[in-house]
Amino acid sequence: MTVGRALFQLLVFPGLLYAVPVAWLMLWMERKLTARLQGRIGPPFYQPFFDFVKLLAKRPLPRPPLQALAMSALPVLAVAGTLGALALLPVFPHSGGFTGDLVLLVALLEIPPLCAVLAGFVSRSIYGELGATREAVLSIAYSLPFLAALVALAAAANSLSLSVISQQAMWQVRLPALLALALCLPVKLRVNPFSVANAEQEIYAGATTEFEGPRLALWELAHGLEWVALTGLWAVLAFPAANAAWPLRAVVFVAISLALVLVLAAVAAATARLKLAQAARVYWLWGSALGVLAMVVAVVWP
Amino acid sequence: MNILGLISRNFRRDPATYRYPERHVPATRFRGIVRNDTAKCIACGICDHVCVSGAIVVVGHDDHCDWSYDPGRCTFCGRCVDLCPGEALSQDGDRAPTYARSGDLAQGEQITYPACPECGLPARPYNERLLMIAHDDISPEFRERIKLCERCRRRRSQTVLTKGLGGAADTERNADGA
Ligand code: SF4
Ligand code: SF4
Repeated sequence: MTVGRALFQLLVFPGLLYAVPVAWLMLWMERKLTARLQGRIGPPFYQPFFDFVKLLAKRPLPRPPLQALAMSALPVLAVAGTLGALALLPVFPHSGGFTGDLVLLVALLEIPPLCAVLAGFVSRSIYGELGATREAVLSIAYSLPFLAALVALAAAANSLSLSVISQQAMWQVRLPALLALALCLPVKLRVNPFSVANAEQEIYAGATTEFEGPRLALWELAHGLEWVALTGLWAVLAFPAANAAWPLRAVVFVAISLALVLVLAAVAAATARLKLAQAARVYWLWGSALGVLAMVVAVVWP
Repeated sequence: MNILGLISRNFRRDPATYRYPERHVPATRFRGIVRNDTAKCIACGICDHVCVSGAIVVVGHDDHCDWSYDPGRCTFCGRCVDLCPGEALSQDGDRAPTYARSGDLAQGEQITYPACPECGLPARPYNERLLMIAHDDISPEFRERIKLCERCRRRRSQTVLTKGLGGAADTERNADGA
């Protein structure tokens, strides 16, 4: 991957320039569809953007210096990590990438949840701490199927490079792996039925309860970017046509991402929040079963 | 799967949200903004006294009384309406219109005291209903006296009293003399 190419992916597509507006679009789609399914009107499509600008314009609360530093740095780190992950997505298979970028992607995708856990404890609020604890427990629960699915894909393609994996993993492995990944999306995005980490009726905003103004704006942005990155990862893995022309690839990538948002929002609207133990059990049992299935197929299939 | 039917029905239907200025129809006997019918108000100040939130303030002057009401402070509890002796207060059956600043809907009424028919100075207002409650039989003389200011009324009572007493004393003296 050349430097120019890397910069393009980081700053233009599927990075900053693409991801930020689409993040707002996805946040809106999720809110709008949920509202319509609940018989409400829902926000106009520019609402997430307005929310962001309004939060940015607010004066941050004065806090002790170290806490202020940590509370500002953590959302920035979350945004940066997610943007980095986005830049690694091999939307165009011949765009390069490097061996081992899968490992980097996994690490970068783990940054926002990690930051959220730290943020919850750093904010010294009982709700933040509860949210952070739940987030931590859930991330242990979903990491198993999430990583198992990715490892299975890597084993099937016999490579640690994302673009090779997205092209060459066989469908027998890809299907259970994609299912396992799809199962992990709601919990990573903190939507129903796995929204116990930010259960607003009981612990307000969970880990980000004490955040305000620009700091909260960055969290919202990080959350939107997570939507783009995770649905994008799924889209990349679900559409391996290597020979498709680049505009078609881009369009299909965007279409699958957006469709996934609608599906996730519909599932969220149709389900109730599971308790922490129930959610963890789903991942340990069904998620892991799918991940292990993918892994077994990847190893034993001739 | 009941929930699937539910959300698909919601999706097909129009949203249930009311868009401004559309509103819910208020319930019957809805307690809205308080109104004062100044023709019935006797400026007793009971409403001021019972209003816990201080929405009604009654300030008496020599020849009139200022009755003011701020819906922005009112809790629409209805105590003032219940306890108004003159039945001057009532509550609107609908919500107040939207307003931008606190105090936009504030009302101020002036209850002018009627002039005393004898001396022309301000007299306390009275209310027919209260009269009926207090005295079920009202003589024309009493009705005339109720319109007087306090001083004139006192003087009238004095005259009646002295006349009555004097008359009695005379009768007694006459009886003695006889
Ligand atoms: S309704 Fe209640 S709160 Fe409002 S003015 Fe009357 S006594 Fe006060
Ligand atoms: S008559 Fe009614 S409205 Fe007038 S001052 Fe008395 S309580 Fe208030």
